[in-house]
Order: sequence, then C-alpha cells, then structure tokens
Amino acid sequence: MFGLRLMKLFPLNIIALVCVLSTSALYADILITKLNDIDISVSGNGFSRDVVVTERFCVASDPVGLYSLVAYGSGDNGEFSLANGPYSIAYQISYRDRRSNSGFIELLPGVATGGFLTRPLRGNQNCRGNPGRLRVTILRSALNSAVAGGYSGTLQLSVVPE
Amino acid sequence: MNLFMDRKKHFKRNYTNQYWLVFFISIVIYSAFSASVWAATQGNIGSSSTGTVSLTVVNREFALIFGMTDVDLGTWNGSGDLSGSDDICVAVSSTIPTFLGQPRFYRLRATGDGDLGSADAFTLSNGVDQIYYRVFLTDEDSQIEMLPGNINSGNHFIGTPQYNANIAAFFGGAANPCITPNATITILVEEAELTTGAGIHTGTLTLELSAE
Repeated sequence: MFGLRLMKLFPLNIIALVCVLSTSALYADILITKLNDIDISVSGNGFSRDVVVTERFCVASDPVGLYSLVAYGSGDNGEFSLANGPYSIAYQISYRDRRSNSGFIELLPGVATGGFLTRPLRGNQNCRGNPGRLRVTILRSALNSAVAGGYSGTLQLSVVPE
Repeated sequence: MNLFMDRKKHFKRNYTNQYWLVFFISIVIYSAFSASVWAATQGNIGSSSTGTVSLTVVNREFALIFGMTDVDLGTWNGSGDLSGSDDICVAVSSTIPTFLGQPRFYRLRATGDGDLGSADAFTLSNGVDQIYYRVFLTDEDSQIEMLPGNINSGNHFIGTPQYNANIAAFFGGAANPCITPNATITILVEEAELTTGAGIHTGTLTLELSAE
C-alpha cells in the first residue's frame, strides 16, 4: 500500500535518485584516524579559568560525503568524565569540522550529531589533513572543587556515513 | 608621672600574601597516567569507524589564606595586657571530596621576627628592646595557642559555607574575596612584657597555610 502511494505522489525518476544516494551512503568506506591523546597539565597554582584543549583528527570516506559523529566517555552511561579512583571530574566536548564550515557544536554522550563532511579517502587508507577539531572543556569550578590528584578517562569517537 | 604612660606599643603585622602550596604527589600521579597504558587507537576503514583517545588532567592541591589586615594594638596605659585580632579567610582543596559546607582540615604555621634563641619567636622590637607576644587561632572548631614555628594541624577545619564562592571570586580576580571570615588571629602582649623598654614596637607575623 505504501509503495503504491509513493508512485502516485512522486515521479519515478526522483524515487530512483533517492535509491542511488541511499545505496551510496550505505556502502561508503569511512575512517577516523590521526587521533591523539589529550594530556592537560596546568602551570601555575590552581585553575584560574576553564581548561580548554583542542585536538585535531581526520575523517575520510570513499566517496566523500556527510557523516555523523557520536562520542562516549568512560563515565557511567558514557558520560564525559575523568576518574581518580572514586572521584570524578566532568568535562564537555564540542566538535567542529572545517570542511563543512560549521562552528563548534556541543556533543552529548551517545547522541549522534551529523552534517559534517569527510575528506577523500586516499588510496583507500590515507586521510590528508586534520579538519576535525575536538574541543574539550573542563570548567574551573569543577577543577577547583574536586579532589586533588590525577584524573584520566577515555573518549570513544565513532563516525558513520549519513 | 608614670613613665610608662607615654610609651606607645604599636604592633604592626604583615602577612606574606597568599600561600599556594602545590603537592608534588599530584605530578607523580599524572606521570603514571601519562604512560603508554592510555594510547589513542585509530579507527579502521569500514561502514563505520571508531577510535579512542585518552584524557588526563592533574588537579592540583592548593591552599589560600587571604583577607589579612595590619593590627594596631594601640597605646599601653600602664596597666593590663594589650591585644588585637584580625578576621581572615582560609581555604584549602583537599584529599577528600569537596562539597559546599563540608569541613576541610588544614595546617597553619606561624613565625615571628625571632630572637637570639629562635628565628621564629613572636617578637616586637623598637630597634633596641624586644618584647614577646602570644598568638591564638580561633576557627569554627576551637581555639588554640600557636607556638612559634610549630605546625598546628589536625584539629581545625574550614566549614564556611561560602568556601567555593570565595575561591571562585578569588580566581575571578576579586580584590578582597574574604566575604565571610572563618578564622581569627588574636595577638596578646602581656603586661609583664610591656614594662620593658619604651617606644613604638613593631613586628611581622607570618602565617603559612597548607592543606591537611
């Protein structure tokens, strides 16, 4: 019933184009790479302002296209937090893709954010440049009220063609 | 005429600003986390791709003493003790969780200008003679007498509800963030000391604060 109604509403050539695009996205190869660890060491005494660190990485696909990014932290339920034994410090992350000229968009744990544009996947393995910018923010209020010591955690980043 | 009537005993106290104490154990912990145990992993080519980065941050321990003002003990009238006090703010981060109003233990060490026997003795001088004074610390826990050079610890805490607010104000650049003092330093010059030497006596009391 549903297919019959589509035939009535849309011309046949438009339906065919949608199918081609859908197939293209479904079988695109995508790669996230050039990731680096983020170590935050603070000079001086105490934290006088929010700690903001930006790391770059690369997302490429063949063919080039839009992709979505989803991030999971190592806190409970994927929350963005760093742990020091039983204690934790929350952080925020936002992402900007220079290829799509977007501003920094805040990411939420486990929530896919789309509209970013990949680099070409060279030789089916290389990703040139570092257009992806991940910004990590730890509020000074969180740092100054937390237990002293070293905090660590992991951040998992997954990309999927759109 | 009692000669001592004209003698002025002035006590001027200068604190050595704020004290920041950084504990190197934090650095050691940080170094441990910086090892290759946490290494970024790159994604693989596929219909989706996933990579992982590690994050580490060192949260340093600190202590802050602020809101101090000079204390003028006034003029001795020939009998009795002279005393004065100053309300101050003390704040520390801690090795226990920080929540508003939760007690914070700290250590406080007081040193004076010294004498021939001790570099830390609580003394005032008119350039010729020295007289001695006593120092008392009162906070929300109790009152103790501080002895020169001794580290007073373990039995005092900071319970000021505005602890975090004060710290935030300080880091924000406020000129005097000691909104709610949570400790008092009291200076006492006993009568027996005042009968020795005439003139204006001054001295400096240094307080060194650290987290418990």
